[in-house]
This record gives sequence, structure tokens and C-alpha cells, in this order.
Amino acid sequence: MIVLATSDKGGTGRSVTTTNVAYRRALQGDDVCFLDFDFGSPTAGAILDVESVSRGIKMGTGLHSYLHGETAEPARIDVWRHAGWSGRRRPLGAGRLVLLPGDEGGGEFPVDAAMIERCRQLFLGLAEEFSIILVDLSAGRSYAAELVQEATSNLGSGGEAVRWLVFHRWTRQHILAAHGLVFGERGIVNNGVQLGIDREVMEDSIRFVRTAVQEPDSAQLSLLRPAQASWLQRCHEELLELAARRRLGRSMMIGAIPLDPVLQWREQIIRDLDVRSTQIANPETVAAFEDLASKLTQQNYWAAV
Amino acid sequence: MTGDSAPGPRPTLLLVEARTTLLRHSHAVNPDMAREILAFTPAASVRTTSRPLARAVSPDTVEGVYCRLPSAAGRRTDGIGTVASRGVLIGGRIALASSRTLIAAGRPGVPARRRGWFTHLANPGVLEQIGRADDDDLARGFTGPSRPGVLDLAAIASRLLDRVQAATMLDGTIPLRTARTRFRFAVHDVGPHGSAPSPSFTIDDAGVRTLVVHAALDAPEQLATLCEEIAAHDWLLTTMQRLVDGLDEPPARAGRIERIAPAVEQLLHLWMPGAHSEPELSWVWSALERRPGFSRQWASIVARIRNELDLSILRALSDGAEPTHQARLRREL
Ligand SMILES: Nc1ncnc2c1ncn2[C@@H]1O[C@H](COP(=O)(O)OP(=O)(O)O)[C@@H](O)[C@H]1O
Ligand SMILES: [Mg+2]
Repeated sequence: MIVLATSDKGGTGRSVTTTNVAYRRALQGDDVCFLDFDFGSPTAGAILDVESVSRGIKMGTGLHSYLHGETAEPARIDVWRHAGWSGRRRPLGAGRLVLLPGDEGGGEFPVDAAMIERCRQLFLGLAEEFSIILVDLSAGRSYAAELVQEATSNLGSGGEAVRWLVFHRWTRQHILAAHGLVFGERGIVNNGVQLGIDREVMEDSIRFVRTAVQEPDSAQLSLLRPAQASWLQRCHEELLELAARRRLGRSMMIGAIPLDPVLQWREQIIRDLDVRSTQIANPETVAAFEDLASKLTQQNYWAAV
Repeated sequence: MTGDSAPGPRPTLLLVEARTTLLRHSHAVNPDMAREILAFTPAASVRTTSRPLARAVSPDTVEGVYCRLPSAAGRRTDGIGTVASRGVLIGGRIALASSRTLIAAGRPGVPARRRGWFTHLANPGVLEQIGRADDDDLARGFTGPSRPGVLDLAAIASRLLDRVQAATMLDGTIPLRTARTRFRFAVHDVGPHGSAPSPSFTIDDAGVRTLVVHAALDAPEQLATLCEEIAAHDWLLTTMQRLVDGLDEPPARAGRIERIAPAVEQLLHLWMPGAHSEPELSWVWSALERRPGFSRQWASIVARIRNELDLSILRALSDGAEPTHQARLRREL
């Protein structure tokens, strides 16, 4: 399965959520690879705490170079072995967790047919090996996003399932922007239809993830003055209604990640120990990552409702 | 011009890179389909053998190269000539691509780069060396970490394997996820009567396998076949070992049989070391059996699977269930 992570705006929490989901899914026993396709700002190395690629790889062997035909095979990094927090080896029962970093100083680029073909070959090759391929795209409509959509729309017979996660924060502007990115005139759905995919199939393959959400009844908000609390409640209800009208409602939502104090301060992987022993992160955050990780492959969350 | 096509100095080193994976298909393909998959060049024919195990070999595809040679000492040595590659299907199930080239010292007279490409193409799979670097240095450079801008057999083999996997007749189903293995062979020439030090086999941090052998280079094709066969068996070992290692790790008590079933049904019977290698080369297999002990490791994997199935049959029986699936798998062993 190929999972494409996108968002209309930057700073939504797409990269942090996707890397944590990759980590959780690998812990659940699957072989997972994570592709950093956000060429403008490759952050996966930093979030995963792999020092040598914290701003992308330096040797000209990253995904950006691969797509340009400058290296025959993009570099791979075994996260279990190289992440700062890891015990240098794969935890018992976990699957592989491999990062394909972008290049330092990569940047955006126009797409040509040769790149699409390289990208397609890359996905086909990775699918032999990994059951989950997570791709962190850049924000908005980028060349990279276009490239990946075209390459994955044409994987041949029996091809891998392709699914989209669209990240947005829980605000008015973010809801409208995410709607536009998916359902707009030049949005993901129409783009897919133009590439020969059925509209219904396309819509079934897209789900939304709300990030840094504060439910009005959350413990963090218990200190609010009554006026603030009721205003917040009203806002939340308005947003629920807006989301439903813009087709980002319950049936299209596959995850909501609560606002977490650790992630607010630092982009990182949250481990069980951050919840259980040091207690700096919230258990609800980990539960939300785990939940999203396992729903990726549960068909009932993706079929039309 | 005539002087140019005269045979040059005798090659003294053979470099082979093999990439191996599971064919992207739900089940083993039959020989006809194997022929179709490997028919890269319309005119040339795919060779197939069915005994003791089905094997199909594509005709060579030849690619011209002019690049630096891999010197471990960092010497500036170029090579000009061609790399020959082919696709192989084993048991209709394992897909493999190998790229090879013989390294020969430069010919006296007209410099290699001034002679037309056709003189190089007349000698497919041979690179003429420009500049100095001894074979040991080149072999160590080739089997060491790869560097940008240097002869990249891996890239050529990998593209060819992509091509095999993209064949339109394949149904695209992946019965079990397996990693592509990377195998590099360096064969030093010992001449027809030379004595050979024993082969050395290593696996580096990145998982690249390396085998350095000393043998006569007069039949490079047979050596390529040997390399391919070793690579395929190493892939089988790697794949099965990973699978049984996973059985001992926590969460997955449930679904263990489901996880080993495709491997038992589709891969176990492919173990047949030396089946397609020339008898004169069987000593290489014997050496590998002594160290690292290919068949010993295989036997322990099979024993582990047998145990797992027996346990699962017993568990099912004591639960009052009918262990038909397990029993069927058990008969494959
Ligand atoms: N659940 C969360 N709670 C609090 N902060 C978060 C959460 N998710 C992400 N963040 C923070 O939001 C910022 C943007 O996240 P990032 O993943 O880099 O966004 P994007 O990839 O969409 O640009 C980061 O500082 C990150 O730590
Ligand atoms: Mg990001």
C-alpha cells in the first residue's frame, strides 16, 4: 500500500504525524518505508532524529537526485539503526523502518516523462519489499505532488493500493483550504479523473486527518472562564458544521490527533517511554497515532459510506 | 582498421553484479510465459531448461560504457567497452538480473578511446583498461562501498530487473514481501592450470554480499551462471531466514501459519545448489558449503518450519479443529 500525505498549507503537522504513524506501523510489525518528497524542506531526518540527514542527505544520493537520474538508487537509512533515540537495533517484533531522505538543498523542479517513469519504478521496487510506503509530499499543489500522483496512477496490473491522507488544522481557513486541495477545480480528485481514475474510486481513496485538535471538553481547557468555554464550544460546533458541508465530515475523516505539549515544542517521534516513564507526552496522542496507523489498511474506513 | 579487431590482451578479472527478487506474480510462471517475459530482443531467443529445475535465461543486452573503474586505492583508471546483462527466471518464481564485464589491459597501438565503438561492441562484455591499477585493487574497489561516477554494474542490473518486473504478462501480485538482494562477484584469472586460493564470502553493513573467487576465465558465461545460481540461493536463504526469525518475536502468534504458507508453497522446493553450474565449478559450491555453510543453514530453516507446522497441527487437533491446511503444507517439506 502506498500512502500519500499532503496538505494545502505548511505547518499543519503533516510531517510530524506521518513520521509518527510510520513509526507506530513498524512497531505493529509491518515493514514500512518513509519517502521524504517535500523537496523544499526535507524534515523527516530531523523528526526521526537521524543526525546525518537532518536537513536531507548531503551526498547527492537522495530522492531528488534519483528522480533527476543522477543516482541509480536513492539512499536508504535504517531508522532503527541510526536514529538518536533508538537502541541501534530493531525492537523485537517490529518490522523494518527505512527512510529514503530528500537531498539537502533540493528544491522544486518541473517534471518530465523520464522522472515520472523513475518515480513509478521506485514505487514498484519498494512494493516488492515493504507493505506500507508512506510518502510525505510538500504543501499545496507542487511538482512533486503532481509527479507522485501521475506515477502512482499507473502502477500496472494488480497494482498497489494508493491512498491519500490530507492533513489540516482545526480552523476555518484550514478546512476551506483542505476542501480546495481535494475537491477544487484543479484538486486531487479532478486530477485523478484526468489521469483515468474513476471519480468514485478517487474519492474513496482520500481521507482527512485533523491535527493539533483541542476538543472543547479536553482537560487542558478545564481552566477556561465560562465565557471562554462556551465561546469555544460554539466555535467547535461551527467548525463541525463547516467541515460537514465541505465534505470533510465524519465519514471522510480518518483521524484526529490531539494537541500535544511535546509536539508543540519540538518536532519528534513520541515513544511509549515519553508517555509512561517521563510522562511528558499525552497517552491520547500515542493512541491517535496508533489508531491512524492501523486504519491505513482497514478497508471499512476507506469504502464509500 | 583490421589491426583493431585483433584479439587484445587476455582479460584477467571478471566482475559480476546480481540482483535478485521474487517475481511480481501470484504463482510460478510456466516456461512459455518465462520466455515471453525475458524476450527483450525480438530476434534472439530465450534459453530454457526444465531439469532439475526450470530456468530461463534472456539473451544478453549489451551496453557501452566509458567510465572510471573502481580502484580501492583511488587511482585514476578508466575503462572503455561494454557490459553484458541478462535476466534469469528460476523455478518460474525467482527473478534475477546480472551484469558482467571482463577487465582486460589496454591494447598497444591506437588508444582505446580513439577506436570506434564498433570495435568495442565486437567484444561484448569486455572493458579495456586505460591507466594503471592492478586487479586486486580493482576487485577490492568493486566489492567495497560504491562511489559516484564509477562503473556501476548495480545500476545496470537493477534497471534490467525493473524491466523484468514491469512485464505486462505479470499479474502484479506480491505473495510475500522480500527485499532485493545485492550480490557482487569478482573472479580473478588463474589461467587453465593455476592453483586457486579458496573463495571468500562476506556480507557488509549495507547487506551487500561479496564473493571473491580465483578461477580460469576462459568460460565467463559459465562463471556468470554460477554467480547467478549462488545469488539465487543466497536470496532464498536471506528471505527464509528473515521469515523464521520473525516467528520467534512477540506479537505475532496468530497468523504465523499464514505468514509462512506462501514461502512453503512457493519457495522451499527451489533449493537445489549447483543444479545448473558446470561440474568443473562444483568446488566453489563445496567451499560455500564449508563456509558459511549454505545447506546447513537451509536445513535448520526447514527444521524450524517443520516444527512450527507440527506444533500448529497438534494445537489444532487439541482444539478439535481439522488442520488440513497445515497438513498440506507439512507434506511440502
Ligand atoms: N499534534 C500536535 N500537537 C502540537 N503540535 C503539533 C502537533 N503536530 C504537529 N505539531 C507541530 O506543528 C508544527 C508543524 O508541524 P509539521 O509536521 O512540520 O508540519 P508540516 O509538515 O505540515 O509543514 C511543528 O512544530 C510540529 O511540532
Ligand atoms: Mg513538513
